[in-house]
Amino acid sequence: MTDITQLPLWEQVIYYYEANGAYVFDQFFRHFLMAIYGVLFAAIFAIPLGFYLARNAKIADWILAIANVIQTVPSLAMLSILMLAIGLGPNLVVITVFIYSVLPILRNTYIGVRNVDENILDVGKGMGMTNWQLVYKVELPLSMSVIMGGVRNAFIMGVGVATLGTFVGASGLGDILQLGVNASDGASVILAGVIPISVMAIVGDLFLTWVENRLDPTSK
Amino acid sequence: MIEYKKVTKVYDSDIVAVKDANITIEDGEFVCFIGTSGSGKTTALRLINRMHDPTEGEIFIDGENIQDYSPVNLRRKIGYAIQQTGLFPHMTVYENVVTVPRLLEWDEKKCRDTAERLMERVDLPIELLERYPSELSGGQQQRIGVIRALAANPGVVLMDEPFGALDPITRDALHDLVIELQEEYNNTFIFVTHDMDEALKLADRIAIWHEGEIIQYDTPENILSNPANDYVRSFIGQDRLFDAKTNNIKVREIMNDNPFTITPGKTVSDALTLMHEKRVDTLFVVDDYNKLLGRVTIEFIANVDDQSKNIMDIIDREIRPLRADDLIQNKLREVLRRGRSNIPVVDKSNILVGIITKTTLVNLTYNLIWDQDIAQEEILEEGLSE
Repeated sequence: MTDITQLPLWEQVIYYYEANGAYVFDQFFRHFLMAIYGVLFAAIFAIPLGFYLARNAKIADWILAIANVIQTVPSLAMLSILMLAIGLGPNLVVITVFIYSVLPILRNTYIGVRNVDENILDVGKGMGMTNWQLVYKVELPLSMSVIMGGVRNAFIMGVGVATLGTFVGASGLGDILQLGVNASDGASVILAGVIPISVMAIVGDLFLTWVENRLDPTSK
Repeated sequence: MIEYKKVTKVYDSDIVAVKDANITIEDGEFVCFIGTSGSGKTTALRLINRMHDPTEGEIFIDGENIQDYSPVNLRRKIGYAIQQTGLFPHMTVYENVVTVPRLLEWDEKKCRDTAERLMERVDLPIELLERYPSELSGGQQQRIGVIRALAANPGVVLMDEPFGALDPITRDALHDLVIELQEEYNNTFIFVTHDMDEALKLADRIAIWHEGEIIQYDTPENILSNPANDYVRSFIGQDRLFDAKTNNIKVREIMNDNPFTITPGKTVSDALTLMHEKRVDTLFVVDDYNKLLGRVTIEFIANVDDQSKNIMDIIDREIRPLRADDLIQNKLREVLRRGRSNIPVVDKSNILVGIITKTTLVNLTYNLIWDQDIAQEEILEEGLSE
């Protein structure tokens, strides 16, 4: 058996993938799920709240200020605090991603809904739409691209936060990074972890940008 | 029929938008609400489909108080179009047009038929139905806005300055279209505008709003000929008043109603004496019933040797009189072109009732200009005293 540390770096990475492909794929999937669940739950929570805030501008300032403060807490600190309450494991990561995702989605929803042209709303109401019809026929489609912008930000951040899952026993691609950091001559292992994380963030960003543009009513 | 009964609308407990409005709009009537911004015209319009509710008073549509309807059901029965089209940018033209039919849960085929019929009606290609509003020109968009308001064939259509942002030619075309559609479907139209020309062109009746009150509610003709007060007069504008004045003057109003006449059987000598006496160069020949037969002029007489000749021998029958009920503006050119100084005026049975001379025309012009100067001075003085 050759000494793989003597190979060029990229060959070492390929070697790593050849040897541990299933493991990397497994961690990739796990990482992705932690990020996406957190963002999904945040969207389910923050989008309706954003609509509510858009109609109640007075409390909106308060809620957005609180969300901003939460956002300033470092993610590792947040994980540690929440760990006291929730314990270790992937659920903790999902909840942390959720908390960090609420602000961008909430803020974008609020802005998106507030920016819907008042004339359009007026004419919708004037033609006899109920409040609910106004929301799902007019406001939601017209603000969807801005909301998706928030979801995109949240997802990229979620991918980052999920990397920390390795410290709280949640696994994910962070495990591979951690392995590389602890190993001597572990550069190739670190790379093997960084590449899928980057791919996930970049491809997710591109995909969500595409969705965002598709939903933009002005592009039609 | 839409009735406002003592309707008052107050915003934020102290801003009075509409003050004690009483107004009745008949079925099939085209009514324009006109006024400056803040005059209450838009609020008054929006009270009808309960976009606002009156602070006091009631509004009835066909005898039923609109407060008895749910706002949503009421609005679905009332067409609504606003400024800058208000089309939904995320929906296709088709989805836009059938918005209200879909809210009313018409079946898809009926929606499609309605949309296609309306598109044809306003001369837009049916293919446009599948496009998005942003792909259409401003004029096309506003056509869609108009047919969307009409799609469910509502009895009442409300339009709030829908053509404000369009260029004059497109606007003109849309005016004609709206008039045609209104006549065709016989909806009651209430149209808010700040443009007097638009109101005069479209309306059967115009309501002029000022500071929340209706100052005058009447036909365009009556508003032009009898402005209720100085505000209305200044709002209409001097130019239009001036036009309206000249447009509506009848020959009867400016003619000299004491023409000099002579009866058949008189001699040329008699005619000369009479002309000399009255210092005129033309006499009109009338029978015993004052029916106009012709005229004799000094030029004709000058060529006659025998002064005892009957005037009927030298009568000029080519006189083409004016009718007393003719409008001056229609006849002015003709009068001037003929180049004669005296033109007789007759009534329907050809009875001579008066005469138009060049002096009459000069007086008319002078009076109009002089009146206008006075009116303008009054407005200026008012402006200064405020």
